[in-house]
Amino acid sequence: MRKARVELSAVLSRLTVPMGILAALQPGDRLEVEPPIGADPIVRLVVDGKTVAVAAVSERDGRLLATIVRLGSEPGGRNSDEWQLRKKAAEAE
Amino acid sequence: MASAVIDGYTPERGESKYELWRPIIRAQRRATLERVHQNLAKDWSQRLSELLPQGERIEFEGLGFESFGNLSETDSADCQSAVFTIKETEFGGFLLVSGELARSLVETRLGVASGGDRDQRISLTRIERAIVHEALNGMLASLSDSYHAAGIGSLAVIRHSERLKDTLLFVPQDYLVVLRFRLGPPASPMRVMLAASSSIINAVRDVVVVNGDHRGSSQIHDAAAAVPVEVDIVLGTWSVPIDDLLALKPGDSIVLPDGTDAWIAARTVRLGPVQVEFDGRRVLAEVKRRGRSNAGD
Repeated sequence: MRKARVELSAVLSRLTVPMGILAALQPGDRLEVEPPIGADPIVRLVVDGKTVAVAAVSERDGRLLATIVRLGSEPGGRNSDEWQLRKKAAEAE
Repeated sequence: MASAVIDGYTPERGESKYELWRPIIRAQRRATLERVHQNLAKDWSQRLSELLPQGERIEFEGLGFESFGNLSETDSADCQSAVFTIKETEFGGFLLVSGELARSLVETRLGVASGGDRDQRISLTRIERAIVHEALNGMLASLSDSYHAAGIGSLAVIRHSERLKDTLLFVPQDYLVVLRFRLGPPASPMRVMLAASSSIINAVRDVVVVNGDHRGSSQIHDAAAAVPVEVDIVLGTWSVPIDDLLALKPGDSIVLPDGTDAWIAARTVRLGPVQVEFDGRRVLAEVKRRGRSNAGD
């Protein structure tokens, strides 16, 4: 059983987005996400929608590296990241 | 000073300078949350009727956002609080009564006269704290019912905490949704503060009344468009043996995909590919094309 495999996902951001905005996303639109002031960027390692580990993200030699800092989910209060949407059309104006 | 953390609130102070990560709440969602907490204040007044001064009611004052750091810096040892989490979510919060209100609840329960200058009072005894905890538990039971009905969820893992810094639920920079209540006139020091992860504002069900005549109208469209969807920006996935997963430990490093084949997903459903750039702090996800990709992308 322990040889069985599961799908592990690297989730860079978790957002709560109104369905209307999601449905209206167009190619070229950009979602910009930044961690709260004082908080480090993290990546969540997720199995079947559940966070199994939280890792700090860094860039080394041009590669993204996740270093696990905590097993299990992140503490309460850092559930959804804050985001901004930049529409492609608006940018061109 | 007793209960400094929740004294001094006036609705006029609701306007504050812009802070980058202060959560934003839509007017309709705010109205729903305010209605939930107005009803909660009525429930609390009924539930605590034997502990409140005769004829007094708990009034809901308003809703705002504050960082946990600001709240905990002004915490007072006289305040009494209870910490809770919400079932099947990662949301948490706390309920806090001012020292003045705690003392009033105790005096009414024990049938003793008020001793005048409460600032001169010594801390509550264990028995007195037990009386306040019983009152807090009753308030949390009402809160649990209200939040369940509002779609936020029932409360779980309730415990009492002497100081906000001991709650271990939040870090100082977390913004919390803060609901303030009072007993007595606007300047009364007898106050209740309810604070929770700001994410709960996304869990509240907006109540939209749609008449039969308006089926298919913009009301339904607006209601559907406002439904919050939790989405992930996923860099990539790996098929991993359970053994390897169980062996993960803090300090282990994983090389991540470069972001060229990332996607947006709602739970396990891929909504569409994005190109992700990471500048060391910000994540920029550019939509490559709309629509759901084929399963197994």
